[in-house]
Amino acid sequence: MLRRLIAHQVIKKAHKTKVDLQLRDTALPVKSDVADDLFEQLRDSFQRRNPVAGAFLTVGNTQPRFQQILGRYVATDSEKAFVEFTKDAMTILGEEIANQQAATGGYVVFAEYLADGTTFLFAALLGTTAKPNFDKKLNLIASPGLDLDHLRHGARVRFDKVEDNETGVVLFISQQSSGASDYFVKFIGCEEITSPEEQGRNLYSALDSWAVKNDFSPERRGKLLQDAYTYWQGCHKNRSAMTLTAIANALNPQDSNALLSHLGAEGNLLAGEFPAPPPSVMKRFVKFAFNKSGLKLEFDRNTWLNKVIVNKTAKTLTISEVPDELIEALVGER
Amino acid sequence: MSLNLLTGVFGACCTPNWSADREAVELVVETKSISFETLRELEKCEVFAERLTSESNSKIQSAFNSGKPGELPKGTQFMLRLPRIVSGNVVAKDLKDLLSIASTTYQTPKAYYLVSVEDSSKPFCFTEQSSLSAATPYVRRYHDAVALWGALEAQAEHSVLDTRNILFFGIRRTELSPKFTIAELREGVALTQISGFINESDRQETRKEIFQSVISEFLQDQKADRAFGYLLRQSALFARRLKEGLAIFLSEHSPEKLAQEAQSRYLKLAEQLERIVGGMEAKSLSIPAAVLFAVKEAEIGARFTTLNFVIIIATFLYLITMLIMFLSQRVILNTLKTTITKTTGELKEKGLDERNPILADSFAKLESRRRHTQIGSRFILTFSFVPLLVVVYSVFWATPPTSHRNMIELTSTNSIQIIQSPNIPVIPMTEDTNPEQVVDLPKTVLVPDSTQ
Repeated sequence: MLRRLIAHQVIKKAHKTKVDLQLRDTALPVKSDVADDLFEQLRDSFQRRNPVAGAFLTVGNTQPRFQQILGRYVATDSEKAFVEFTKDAMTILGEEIANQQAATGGYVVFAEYLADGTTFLFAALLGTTAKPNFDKKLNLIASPGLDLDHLRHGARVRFDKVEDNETGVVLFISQQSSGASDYFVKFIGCEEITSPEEQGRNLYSALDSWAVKNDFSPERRGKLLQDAYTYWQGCHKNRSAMTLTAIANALNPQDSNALLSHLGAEGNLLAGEFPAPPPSVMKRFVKFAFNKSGLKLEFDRNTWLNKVIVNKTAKTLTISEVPDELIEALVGER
Repeated sequence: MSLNLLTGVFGACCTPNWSADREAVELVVETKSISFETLRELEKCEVFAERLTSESNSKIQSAFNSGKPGELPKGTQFMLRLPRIVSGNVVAKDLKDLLSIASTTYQTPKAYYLVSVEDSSKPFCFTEQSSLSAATPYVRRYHDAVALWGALEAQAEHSVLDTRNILFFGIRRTELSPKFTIAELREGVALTQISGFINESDRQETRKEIFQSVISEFLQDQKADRAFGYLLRQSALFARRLKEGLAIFLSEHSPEKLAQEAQSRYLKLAEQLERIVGGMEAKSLSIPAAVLFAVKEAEIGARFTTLNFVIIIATFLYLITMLIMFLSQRVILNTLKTTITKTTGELKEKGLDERNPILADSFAKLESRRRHTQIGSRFILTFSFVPLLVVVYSVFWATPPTSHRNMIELTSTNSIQIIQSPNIPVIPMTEDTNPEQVVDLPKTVLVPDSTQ
C-alpha cells in the first residue's frame, strides 16, 4: 500500500560537472490510479532487474549520510519530514552525480509503502525516452516519457532494519559491472552483503508457500522444488549467481511473471540476485537428481534411495520394487 | 549434531500429527518454547522445520530463515520434514513404522529416532552401538534380527542382488526374504547361540554343512516371504537344532568310530591289493612255462614251418594278453593309490591324528605294498616278451641241434653193431630203408637215432 510519493529532478549533461536540482516541496497524491500505476510499474521493473541484497556501508562508527537522514525520518514519520528527507537525499545524490562524467540526470522518485506489515522506501532514478505519439493535429511526434522499462538505478530500503543495519536492509540494482554508474549505490551508501544460506531458506519457504497458495499436489510440489534444485545445480557448478527471473522462468515458464511477483514479494525477503546457496541448504529441495550423458535420473530419496543398490566393483545400479509402468515402458522401448 | 534433540522438540509439543507417508509431522509448541538453534542443529540430520506460524510473531519463518537467534514460542505451529534414508538418518513414528521402510529389515539405519517405541511408549535414539544400552527389548531384538540376517547371508550359498533374497541348497532348495514384522520380535532372538555356532573356528566346514542342512530342514514348509519371520520366532529351536546337529556329527565322528572306519577302509583296500597280487603271482608262473613249451616244440633253425608259425603266433598272443592285463592292473593300482591318499586325507580331516597306528602304520604299509606291486607288474610285463623273443630267436637264428646218429656196422656174422659217432653226415632215412641202396652201401651205414 502506497503511503507517500514524491519526485524530484536532477539536471546534468554528460561530461559536465554542473548539477542542477529541481526539487518538489510537497508530496504527490497517492490516492490516484496514476500514482498506483507508476508505483507498480516501478516495482515490477525493479524486480525484473534482480536487485541484490546489502546493507549500509558503515566506516568505523560513521553511518552513511543517506542512512542518517533516513533514520531521522523513520523516527519522525510525517509527510513534512518525508519531503525534507527526500530533499536532503537529492543533495547527496547531486554531489555524487557531479563527480560522474558520463552521468546524466533524470527524475528521482521516492515512494514509501507498506507491504507484509513492514514499511519500505523505494527510490529510483528514471531517465526519459522519446515515445511515438500524435499531437492535436494528428501529427506523429516524439513525445518524451519516463523510461520505466529500463530502470538502471533503484533501491528498496526496509525501515525495520535501518537502525540495526541488518543484512538485507537494502535491495538495490547494482551497475558496478558496467563501471560507470555506481554513483547511485554511493548515494545510498550501501554494499552488497548476502547470506546465501538465508536466501536458500527463504527461497524454499517462498516456493513452499507458492505450492500451498496454488494448492499443488505433493508430486507437483516436489517437481517445483526439483526444478529449483536443478537450476541451482547449474549455478553452483558454474559458480554463477541465482536470479529470481531465471528461477521464475525455469519453474513456471507458462506464467513466469506470476511466480516472479510472488518470489519478489517483500515478505519473502528474497534478493533478486544472490550467490548459489551451499548444498547443505539446498539438500532439502530435492532428494536426488542426476542429468548427464543423456541419462536423467530423479527420485525422492526417502522413497527410493533405500531401494537403490550400487555395486561399485561391477559398476552396476539396481533399483528394486520399481512400478510396473516403468517395466512396461522399458519393455515397449525394446 | 544429534537426532537426540528431537526428544526435546517432541517433548515440548502436543501430540504430533503425522502425514500419510510419515515423511512429515505437524507440531504445535505446547509446554515450552523451542530455540531456533535446536531446529537448525537438526537440519544437519536432515530434519527441516517448515511453515512456522505463530500468532505472537507473524514473521517467525523469516526470523528463523535469517539464521539469527530466536525461539518458537508456545502456540507456534510448524512442520518437521523427516529423513527416512537408511544409509543416513531415519526418523520414524515407531518400530513398526521403521520396519515399513525398505531395506531396514536387513540393515539398521546409520542413525535413527523412534518417537515412541511400542513396548515403552518412549522415544529412542540410535546413533551408535552404545546407544543400545538404553534400548527397549523390542529395539534390541530388532538389532539382533538384522544381525541374524547378516549371519544368514554370510552362510548362504547364493544371494539375489535386487531382492536381497538368500538361498541354501542343503537337503533341498531353501529361499529366504529379508522380511519380518514387529510381531516376530515379541520373543528374544537367539542370536548369541546361532552366531556362536557359526563363528566357532573349530570345524568350520562341518559347521557350515550342518547349518545349511538344518536350515533347509527347518524351513522346508515355509515360503520365502515368511521364512525369516518364522526363523526369528523359532530362533531358540533353530539354535538347538544346530547344537544337536553338531552333537550328532561329533558322536558319529568319535575317535573310536573313526578308528573303526579307518580299519574297515584299510581292510577293504588291502583286500583289493591282495587280489591284484594274487593275479600277478599266477601270471609270473606262466612265463617260464610258456618259454619252455615254445622252445621245446619249436623246430629250431627250421624257419617258417607250420609248427613254428603256430608257436610264434601263440607266444605273440600271450604277449598281447599280458600287456592288456598289465594295463588293467595299472589302472587299478593307480586308483588304489588315489583311494589310499584320499582316504588318509579324509580320516585326517575328520580328526584322526596322523600318528595314529592306522594311518602311520597300516595305511603307510599298504601304500608301500601297492608301490611294490606296481613295480612287479612292470617286471612281469617285461618278462612277457621273453617267450616270443626266445621262439623267434630259436626259429630264425639258432643253429639246429646236431643229431646223434647211431652207426650200424654189418659184421661177418651178419650182426649189427651200433656205434655212436658225432661226426657222420646225415643221410635221409628213406635211403636207409631202401634194400637196393643197402647193397651198395659201404660196410658201415647210418641209421637215424630213433632215441632222440
